[in-house]
Parts: sequence; structure tokens; C-alpha cells
Amino acid sequence: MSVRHGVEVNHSASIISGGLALVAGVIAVASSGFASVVALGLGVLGLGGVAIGIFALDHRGVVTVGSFMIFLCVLFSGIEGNTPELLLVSMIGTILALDLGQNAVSVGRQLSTDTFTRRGEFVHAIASTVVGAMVAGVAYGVFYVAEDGQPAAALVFLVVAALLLVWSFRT
Amino acid sequence: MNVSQLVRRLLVGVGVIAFGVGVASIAGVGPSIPAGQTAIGLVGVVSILLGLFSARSRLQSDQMETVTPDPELPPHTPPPGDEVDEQLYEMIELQHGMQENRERIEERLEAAAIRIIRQRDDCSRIEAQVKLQEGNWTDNEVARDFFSDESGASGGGGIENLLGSTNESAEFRDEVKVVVDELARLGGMEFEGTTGPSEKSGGFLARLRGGDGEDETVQTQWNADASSIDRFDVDEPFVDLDTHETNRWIGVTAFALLALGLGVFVSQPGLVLAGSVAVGYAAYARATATPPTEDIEVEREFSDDAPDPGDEVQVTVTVRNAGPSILPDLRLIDVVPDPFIVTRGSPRLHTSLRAGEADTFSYTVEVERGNHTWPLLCLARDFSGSVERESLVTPEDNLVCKPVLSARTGMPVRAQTTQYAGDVETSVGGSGLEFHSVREYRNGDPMNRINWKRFARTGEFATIDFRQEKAAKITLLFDTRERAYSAESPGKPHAVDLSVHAATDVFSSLYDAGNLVGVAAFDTVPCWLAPGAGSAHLERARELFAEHPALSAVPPSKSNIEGTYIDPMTHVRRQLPSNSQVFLFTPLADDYASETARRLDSAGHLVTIVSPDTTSDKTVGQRLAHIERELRLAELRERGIRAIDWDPEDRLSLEIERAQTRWA
Repeated sequence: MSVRHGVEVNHSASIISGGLALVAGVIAVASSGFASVVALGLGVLGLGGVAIGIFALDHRGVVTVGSFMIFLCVLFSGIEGNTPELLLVSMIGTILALDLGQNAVSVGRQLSTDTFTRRGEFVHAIASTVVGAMVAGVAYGVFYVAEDGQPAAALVFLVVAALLLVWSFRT
Repeated sequence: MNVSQLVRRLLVGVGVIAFGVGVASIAGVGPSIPAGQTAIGLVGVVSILLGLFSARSRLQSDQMETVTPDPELPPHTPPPGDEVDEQLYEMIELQHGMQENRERIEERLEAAAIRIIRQRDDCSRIEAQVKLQEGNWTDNEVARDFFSDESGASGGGGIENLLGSTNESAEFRDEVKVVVDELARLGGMEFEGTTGPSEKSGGFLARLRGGDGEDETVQTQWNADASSIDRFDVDEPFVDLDTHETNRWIGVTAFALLALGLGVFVSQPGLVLAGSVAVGYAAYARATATPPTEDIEVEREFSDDAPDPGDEVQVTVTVRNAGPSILPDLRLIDVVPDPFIVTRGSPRLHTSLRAGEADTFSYTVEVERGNHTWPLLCLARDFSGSVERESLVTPEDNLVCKPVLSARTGMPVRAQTTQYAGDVETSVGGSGLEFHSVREYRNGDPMNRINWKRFARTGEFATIDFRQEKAAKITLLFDTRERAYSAESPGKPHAVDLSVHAATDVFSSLYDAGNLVGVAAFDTVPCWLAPGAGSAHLERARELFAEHPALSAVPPSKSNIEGTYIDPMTHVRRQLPSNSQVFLFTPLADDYASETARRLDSAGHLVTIVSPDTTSDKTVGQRLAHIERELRLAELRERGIRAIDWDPEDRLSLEIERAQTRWA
């Protein structure tokens, strides 16, 4: 009686979401990294982290740290005075890199590389991108309107509102 | 309502008010509140601090995600002797149960050593014990000291043992290794190579799972053990297991707070803008809806509705969203029954279904006997993936796989006399086919048996006797206790599967030869089919092999065998006909089976043991189990019980032929 051979089960991260996450990360770094050497360095390091986290280690923590470094790259470029439009694009890219990177690892773990996952992954990626675009559109609209007057009090209230809301969303 | 909910609502309320005031002042209709650079700076700093705190908590917490099973993989039952390796592992790696485990292993080794000495020197048990104590049974110093030191070590060294270090346990393990190899040498057994590291054969995963020192020798539910889901119930068509948050967006909060704070602090409107995007994502993550998985309809189709064990069947699963709302993220895993192996395709799918939409996936499995119904595990998430809902959907379609009773292996029946005409060749002359002897004519002898040639030659009547043929009553008895579910290595069939596969073959060859054949198993679930004949009897036997829980391909679960101990032979002994022969299928993994064989033999049953060899020689424990099994076989043969030692790599018929030449 010989050994019964089943299929191999491979739980590596999904290539589709992983690839999309890298593309998003590259866009984020490209639209922010030119601001300064520090920003570029952080961005490239972050990209490396995301890529290693997804394709080599299948580790969510590494993906998170990688996208946090891309985020630092965006912050630095913002301090250096990057344009608001590019910062919006960078921020969406950073968050998508985080979201899709995490999803790639999760899909790989819960399902397998032999599974047909294209449909589910694309729907997730599209939903996340559309949400980013919509939020960015609204935020840019408000920003555009407010640019002329820009009373300091309004800014303070908006930021406080955002703080409170975000904090309540947190848990 | 608890405090955290109250605080959250308060935060949201104040936040909305602040937002309103901010928008109003942008539009120029609000009260003109003076706000200086200080206030702005302060808000920025607070935001940055909160952001850093949030980032820290992100890095500390992990995501909550369902761990899914791997139903593709072959079932894994440990080889005999795994418990010894587990005990050694506990002692060395977990520093736990030093005294008990040591004593248990020493006891087993001593019992094996005494048996070997008795067989070698043909002496009594007491004499063997004395030899062992005195140490003049072997030249190997380590082995000799192991047994003669034993009383001293466990008597005087109590405290030392309690404080036993890893070092000491490792030394103990090395000693055990030497002793086992020495016992094997004395018993005339050879092992290839040296033992690997004494780790549990289940590998790393099993170690993680079994690391808490449970005394479990057999994993009964492979799918449930490897996942975060405890049970895969199939009684209900829909089981809602759990709905939980995945925490996968926590990091975005940190992005939002840091970008906002820094933007305000360094007066970069672009950063504030970027921060607001992150705020939007945080809100998106928060806006969750529990996916309505109860609306999922599942259908399964099989390429073959009545497969034989070992056949490949293609399974096509169709999943439909019958509800009114979208299911944006569905992760589906068909939890194929434990004894099945997926040979092609993947029993999983990741999809997204609008209302009324359907999707399919298909895979091929190698099936095993039984009546199988299995659930589809649905992991549904909302768009952002913040909420994950686990549910099981079990379609009605079941797969029945009955073994075919095919007669390929002729099985020798032990000689005996009974009243039924049949195939057992007796040493008694009478009517039959094969010539037996010639005797003097007695009045009433049938005319066709008179030796007319002799009458013509001598004028005296003589009668020819033929060898009488009789039917035997045979009961195929299976050892299906948990212990019998042992396989040499992962992916190889376990002893119960091997036994049942062999028995479906042997059953019909015995039956075709005109014997009355019945089936029974050691189990607390009574399994009994009295020896009989007829096509209805054959069909009943087929059903029994296919569906009886005692002969299942999956080990009995703990819940079935809890409670008081019942001798697994009780119901068999009560029903076994006094003149029935017994074919006992057992891996001989412990003394119980050989003891049962001896008792049946004493009670006048002719016993033949068919023992699939599932022992391995990779670790110390496995080697010890191998030695013990060989000793049991030798003892049984010494008693005159026929035993077929069947290496599953070979065909059973070959092994039987070999055995027959030995018996002849």
C-alpha cells in the first residue's frame, strides 16, 4: 500500500493583492520621495519591507512596518512642502499598500495559492481604491473652498472634530 | 450600556459639534472665535501624541482572523510508540512530568527486556528478572547499568529527579536509545540508520498543538485540530459560528492622527489634507455591516454517486447568494471529510456575490468508505474586511461509498469438523471428492463407493473413503480501538483502514469457499454480524464495512468513549458461537489484542491473526513499539496461534502464501 499523495497546500501570500499593494506603494513613494533624500530613503526602505513582508515572509507585521515607513516618507515630503494634490495621492497609495498587503497575506493564509481568488481580491481592491478616491475628492473640495478665507478657528475645530471621531472609531 | 460605549458616543457627539462649528466658520456664518497659533500648536501636539500611542497599540495587537483547516491534506495518525517520544519530549523540552514519564518508560523497557531474556534463554519470568537485576544478560554497559541502577535512582534520588535538569533528561533519553538498540540486537531485529532527533513525529505543528502536555495519543478530528474552529457540525443546514472584528484597520488611525497633528503643527495644509483621507478610511472601516451568510445556498454534485473506496470523485460546488444584499468578500472552504484526500484542484474559493449571483468551484478527491456529509465553511467579510463572520452551510447531498466484496486473496481456514458441508478439508474419511483411504465393506455403504475393481480381482467388497469437506464458521474480528488507528507515516493508511480493506477481500474469498462468515469489532459501539450465508447477508456485510461507526476510517472521538471503562470484547464474547474460528485483524500495538487472542484460543476458538505492521523505526519510541510488537508475535506463535505478519507494502496474498509454507 503506497503513500496516498494529496495536493500540496501552499499558504504563501496572494500574488494579485500583493502585486497591487506593491504598485500602490511605488505610487506613494514616487509622488513623495522626490521631496528629500530622507523621504526617498524611508520610502524605498518601506517598499522593501512591504515586498519582503508579502512575498518572502508572509508576515503581516512586516507589511505593517513597511507601510508605516512609506507613511513616514509621505510625512517628510509634507514637511518639506510637497503639493497637497501629490500628498493626497501618496496617502491613498500608502493606505492601499497597507490594506492590500495585509489582504494578500490573509488570503494566502486562509485559502491557498491554488485557489481561484481573483474575483474576491479585485472586488476588495476596487472597493478600497474607490473609497480613497471619494474621500480625497470631498476633502480636496473642502480644502479648495476654504483656501481663500482659512480662518484659523475653523481649522482648529475641524482638526478637533477629526481627532474625536477618529479616536471614537479606533477600537 | 457600558462605559466605553458611553465615552465613544460622547466623543462622536462632541466631534460632530466641532465639525459643524468648523464648517460654519469656513462658510463665514459661525461665531468668530479667536484662535491663536498656540491653540493650533496645542491641538497638533495632542494629535501627534495620540497618533504615536495608536501606532504603538497597532504594533502590539495582532489581527483576529479565523485560522482555516487544510482539508486537502491526508489524515495523520501517529505510528505506534509515539507516546514514548511524547513522554521524552515532555521531559526534555517542557520540563514536566519528570518522575512519572521516567517511570513509565522504565517500566516498558523492563517488560520488553524480560520478555527478550525469557525468549532467548528459555527461562521463567523470575529468572529473567534476576538476570536483569544482576546485569549478566548483556555486554552493553549502558544497558546493564540502566536496569541495575534503576532501583537506586528512583529510590534515593527523589529530590534529584524533582530538580532534574534538561541535561539529565537528555542523558536519560540517550540511555533509552542505547537500551532500545541493545534490545533490538538481542531480539534479532535490525534498524536502518540511527534515530533522528527525538521529536514528536507530528512535527512542528503537532508540537505547538500538543505542547500543553495533554495525554492525547490520537488526534481524532484533523480538520478541527488544525483550525480555530472547534467542530464541524453537519446536523444543521446552517450553523452560525462566530462574528468578530478583524482589527485590520487599526494602523490607519495612527496615520490619520500623525498626519493631522504634524500638518497643523508645521502649518502644512497638504498634510492635513492627507490626514483627512486617513480619517475617511477609518470611518470606512467603522461603517460595518454583518454579511448575511444565512442567505447562502450550496449545492454539491459528484461525478460518481456510488464510488468504491480509493476511487477519485470530482466534486462540483455551486454557491448562490439567495438574499437581497451583496456579499462582498466570501472565503469558502469545503471541509472535505478527514479520511478523504484532495488529489486535484482546490476545495476553496474566494469570491464576491451580488444578490442572486452564483459561483462554482470543483476539485477531485480520493474517497474512503462511509456515508459522508460535510459542511462548507463560509468566511464572509464586509467591504472593508473589518468584520468577519464564520458559518457552516451543509448541503443535503451526501456521498455513500461502499466497499466491493471482491475475492482476490485466498485465505486458509484452520482444519476443524462441523456439521455443514463445505471447504475445510478434514482428516476424516467419508463422502467427498479427494481420495482418502480404502477400508473394509460395512453393511449399508453406498454402492457408488464400493471398489468394484478390487471386487473383480479378489471377490471381496471394499469401500473407498474420500476426504470429507466441511464448512467452517468464521468471525472476522477487528481491533478498532483508538490505539489501532496508527499509521507508519503521514499519508499512509492506518491499521484499521488496512484491516478493513484486507477484510473486504478475505470476507468474500472465505464466503465463496462455502464458509459461513461474520464480522465483529472490539468497540464500545457494538458491532456484530453473526456468521451466515445468502445474498442478504453479503449486502449486510457490505453495509457494515461501509457505515458502521466502529469500522469508521476516522478514529472514535473522545466523547464517544468517555465514562466508565467497558471491556471492548464484552459484547463479542457474549455472541461469538462456540465453534467459530476467529480471524483477528490487529496491528498488535499493545498487549490487549494479543491477550484477547490468547483468551479466545483458550476458549476453544481457532484463532488466526492478521496483523498489518504499522510500526516505524525513525525514533526511539517507534523502535521500542516495533520490538514489543515482534515479541508479541513470537509469543503468540509459540502458543500455537497462527499469526500473519503483514507488511502493508506487500500484497496480503503473498504474505499468506509465505505463512502457509510455514504452517504446512
